[in-house]
Amino acid sequence: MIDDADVRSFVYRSALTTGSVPLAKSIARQFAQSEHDVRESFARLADAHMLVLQPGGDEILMAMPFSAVPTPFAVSSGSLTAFGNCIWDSLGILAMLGRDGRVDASCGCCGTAMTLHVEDGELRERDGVSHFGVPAIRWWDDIAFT
Amino acid sequence: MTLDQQWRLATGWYAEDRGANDWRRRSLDEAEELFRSIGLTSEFWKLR
Repeated sequence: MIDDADVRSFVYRSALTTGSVPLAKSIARQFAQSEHDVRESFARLADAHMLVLQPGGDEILMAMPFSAVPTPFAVSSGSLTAFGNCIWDSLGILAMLGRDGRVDASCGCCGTAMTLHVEDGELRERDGVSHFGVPAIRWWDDIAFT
Repeated sequence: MTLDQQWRLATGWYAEDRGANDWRRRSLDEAEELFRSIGLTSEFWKLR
């Protein structure tokens, strides 16, 4: 059986290197396992809240803080581009990378463009607020909505 | 929350090596302590 820790580690190493969350087939190729075995690993990792799967469960939707699909939270750092799941996660990508970069997002209320810059390990912008709509105890009721 | 709190939450939560094989999710106590450390102390941030 494929080792879930190996799968998780590969997912994050790939995301941190390329900005993209790998598909099941590339993980299967990496470990010389079947895609079925990889998807069983996905399911176990999702049950443990270590990944979130796309509807249907065939591929990863979130390897927090990375999103496998485009979102309104675009992250760039040098040549790496990625998508975060939310403003917390998009800044989290820069925190994980430990590098300067920017997040191109928009106001959740009015849609006005908002760009945040991390420079020398600090967030440059000071004005603005971040809004959470779901109490922490209910985040995992529907993490995609959260 | 303020953007300063948001950045501290992002760094506190994610500035670790999730690619490490021995990485584990933080416990509820650890998560709540992180929230408290950046001033997120209301009922909204309680995990149980």
